[in-house]
Amino acid sequence: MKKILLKVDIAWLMLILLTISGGLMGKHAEPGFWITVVIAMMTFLKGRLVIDYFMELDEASKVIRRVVGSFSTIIPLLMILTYLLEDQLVSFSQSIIGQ
Amino acid sequence: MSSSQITPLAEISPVITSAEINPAIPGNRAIWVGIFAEFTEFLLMFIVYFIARANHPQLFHDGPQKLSLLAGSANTVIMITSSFFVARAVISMRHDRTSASFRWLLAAFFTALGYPLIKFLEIRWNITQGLTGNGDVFQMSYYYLTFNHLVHVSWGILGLIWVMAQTRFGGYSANNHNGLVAFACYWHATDLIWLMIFPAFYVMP
Repeated sequence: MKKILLKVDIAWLMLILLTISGGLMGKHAEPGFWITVVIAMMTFLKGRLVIDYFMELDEASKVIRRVVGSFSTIIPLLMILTYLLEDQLVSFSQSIIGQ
Repeated sequence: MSSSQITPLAEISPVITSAEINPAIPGNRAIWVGIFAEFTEFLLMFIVYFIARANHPQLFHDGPQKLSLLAGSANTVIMITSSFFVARAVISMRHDRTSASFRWLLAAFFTALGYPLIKFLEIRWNITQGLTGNGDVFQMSYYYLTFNHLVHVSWGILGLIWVMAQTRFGGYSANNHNGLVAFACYWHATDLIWLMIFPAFYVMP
């Protein structure tokens, strides 16, 4: 506690910097593979910072760690997959709703 | 029945008291049932979002430009900062610094109040720009996910008031603060969900 900066303080600072830089980057960007990958990676990294330094799940059960970790991995992954497999997703969704 | 015939309840069914800290389940089981339900709910809504995005790429490309990036970024900073203050409150409590813990919670509370305030101003601004719940599929999914998140934040703010009262009136100590940890886990999970919503609606072109 006597340290001037704790790991959690640095995590907070990184989260703020990632938020501002991500916002500025996305503002004028055109859709594309690499911009989608960068935004997904930044989203994943922000999620990991919250899980590892705010939630402190190091000693938590595997189920808890896996569920929380999966949520913050699946959404960024879906960002990339939706970009890459857009046509397949359209065909799949339309076959389900019968169009 | 005489008192000598009564078997103490603890001998029949030993229970874990709230004072015992179980590191495998931070906080308590009930909060994790709630957090798992929260993740499931938002995951389903995100699946709908991604299907809509694939079917209407132009609407989802134009969408973020119609929203206020400033409002979205401000609420992201608010969620991260309030979550950080709660993490510091837990660290202080672990070191038996109850007064410091309360001050961190107070900071988290006043920061968190900014979220519904900005949401109110944002929605008012949205309406003047013609962004309503009856709009296109981007606007509908935006309102559906962000309103749901606002509901979860509102519950969190009520929970925050409860743990502040518990902290202020000696309900927690370094050895027994499961309630505070349970709230912290919920608040961080709600922060985590917002960190997924923010790029999906405000940033991704």
